[in-house]
Amino acid sequence: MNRFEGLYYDGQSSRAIPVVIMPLQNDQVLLRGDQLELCQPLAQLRWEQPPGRSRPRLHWPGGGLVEVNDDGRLAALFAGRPGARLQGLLRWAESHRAGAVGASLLAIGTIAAVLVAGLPLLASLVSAAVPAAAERQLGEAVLASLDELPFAPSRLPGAKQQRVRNLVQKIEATAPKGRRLRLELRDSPAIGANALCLPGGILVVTDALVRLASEEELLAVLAHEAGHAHHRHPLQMMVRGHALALATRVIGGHDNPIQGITEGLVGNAYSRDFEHQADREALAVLRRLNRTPAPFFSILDKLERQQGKTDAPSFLLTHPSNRERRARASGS
Amino acid sequence: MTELETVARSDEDSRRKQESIAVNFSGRTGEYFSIWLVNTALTLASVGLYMPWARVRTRRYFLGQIRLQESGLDYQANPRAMFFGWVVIGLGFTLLSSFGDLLTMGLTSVVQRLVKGSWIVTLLSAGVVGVVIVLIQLGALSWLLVQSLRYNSSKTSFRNLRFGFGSVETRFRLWKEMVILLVLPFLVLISLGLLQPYAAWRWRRFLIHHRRFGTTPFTFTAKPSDFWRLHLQALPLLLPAIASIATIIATLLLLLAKAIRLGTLVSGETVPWLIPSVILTVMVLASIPLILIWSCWLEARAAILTWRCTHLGELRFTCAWRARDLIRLRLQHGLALVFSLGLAWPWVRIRETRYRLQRISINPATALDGFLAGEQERISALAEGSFAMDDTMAGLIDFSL
Repeated sequence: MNRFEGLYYDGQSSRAIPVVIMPLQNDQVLLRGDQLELCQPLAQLRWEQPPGRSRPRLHWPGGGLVEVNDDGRLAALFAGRPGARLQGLLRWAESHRAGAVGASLLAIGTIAAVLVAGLPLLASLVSAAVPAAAERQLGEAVLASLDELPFAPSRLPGAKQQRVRNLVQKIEATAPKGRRLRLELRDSPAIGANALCLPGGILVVTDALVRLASEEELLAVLAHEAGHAHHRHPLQMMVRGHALALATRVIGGHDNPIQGITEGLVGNAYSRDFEHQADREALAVLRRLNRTPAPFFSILDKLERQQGKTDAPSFLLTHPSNRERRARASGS
Repeated sequence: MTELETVARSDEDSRRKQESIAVNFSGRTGEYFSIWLVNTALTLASVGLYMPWARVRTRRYFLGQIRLQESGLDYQANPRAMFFGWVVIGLGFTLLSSFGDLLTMGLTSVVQRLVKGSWIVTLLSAGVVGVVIVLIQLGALSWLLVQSLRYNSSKTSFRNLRFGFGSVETRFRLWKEMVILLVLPFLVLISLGLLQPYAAWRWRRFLIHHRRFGTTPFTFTAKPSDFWRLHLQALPLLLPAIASIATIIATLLLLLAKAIRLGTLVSGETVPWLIPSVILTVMVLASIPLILIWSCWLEARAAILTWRCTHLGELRFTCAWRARDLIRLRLQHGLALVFSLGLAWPWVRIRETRYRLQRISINPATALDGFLAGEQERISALAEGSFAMDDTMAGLIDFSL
């Protein structure tokens, strides 16, 4: 007959009583110790395996408890209980290398899936739900705050300004549904030659860029920014940023030093993605207007020459390198 | 039995009575690392829903590895109840804070209409509403902390006998004490740290005095003066730090006074350092290791004092933490965490817990058998989950701080 040794605690005092446990033929379990003999049907007992190397526990009806030295044969008697399989699986994962590897893969896979697919999907759903009027208001607010510090009114002559406006109208005409774009010209020595897209289809172009670029090149840049506007990138970037901040806090806790780094790197990757998408859009617009893509690349080179080429690896940058943009754009 | 034998026997008895046993912690890094990994993966994959289950499992693991003689501690909390508590509390606090904002806005607009143009009245009324909201939050938080302590204690057991914290009758007194304890840090701040020893004493008394094992209450016999003495003894280690901070503040004030007198700061003007900068630099550099020594020394001595003054029936506790060990551990663990980008966390936690527990022993061993169970009370799990006081330091040990 199987005998298992253990310690019995009756739940009434802190005394530990050495006992012997014997499963009997008739599905009863006998517990015998010093001045103690208890017998219960197997079905009335509850089996429990704490995490780690702790001894399994047999809960006796009425509050008693036995810590058993089991070699697995006693545990087998309780294998069919509800929840036993789940507990067994958890225990297996915690005690085998394959379980640890599987858990790591699950964790990394979940994080990757959330970052690559989950957050972008969430952002596009949320942006789709934002009314155009609200988005435009947001853009106005951003522009107003930019007007307070780095921006001054444009100093370009009126005729030149009108020519840029005409270019924007040309691009608008190619868009299928005719989403409205608004051009804002600003002078900003701090930013230099640059163009931005704000929420609500507000395109900001600096005087320096208008002076630097030829008309064809300006058309290409505006088409790129219109691409951002078309896909509502500024709004999506805001939503993605907030969702990302929330996700890193949930995963990593409040004061995790890795959190800021993660946010930066993932945010950069999102930004580069948007740039590629806007590039594709720009080239499509140029095709529709029967222009060559050459001015688009020449203005990229001009801007790079002006800002100075950087050797930083791409994961540290918000914009992809020209080489990469060229390769991705010509591939599409 | 001869007389000689009787004497020998009673000698044997009294020797056995004197025998003290050390707490043993059998946790292993690899084991905890696996548990942590599986917990993390499941928590991530379930978008955080698994968190209460992970928490209970971790706590069960740690408490189960704490062994006195043959037996380990156990933790039998109900993760599902904790999960619901977590949701309810989260919603409650969100509602309370947004409700507070709305209330502030509404009230200020009403006041603005009544007393036209008087911005002071508006500001005052907003302030009053703010204070009321903070008081409500303070009260709610204290209640939750007390309930959490009570819940966790009642779910922690040793040899199938449960711990407890306070009782249904005393829970309002506990709540009032907790409110005071939560306000204490501000008083400590206002007193420039002078009230710190009193706060340390009061926290320990609260955590120990209301706890019981079965029906036997823990008692805490230390007095505030013991903690004052301890902090006073440690004070010399802080002198360089205090002197440097005082010098820097005084210098800045002088500079400010000068700037105000001249109307503006003249650029290129030399700063009137009260103490030559070389000496100041040496003092600042010296204060960093001294602060480390100070905090570790204080931690070790406070723990020794706390355990010496803690009784459970006939049981006495001894704690043998040493400041130099704490310093070594803190340096090692800090470096390990930084260089492993936080992945060394399970290793750090196991080592830390092992050191802290294995240097605690109890005496006499025979007293372990004599505790009796009282009536079981049912405590809602509502407060748990969102406000666990401390994972590792649960049950028997959470006052070893």
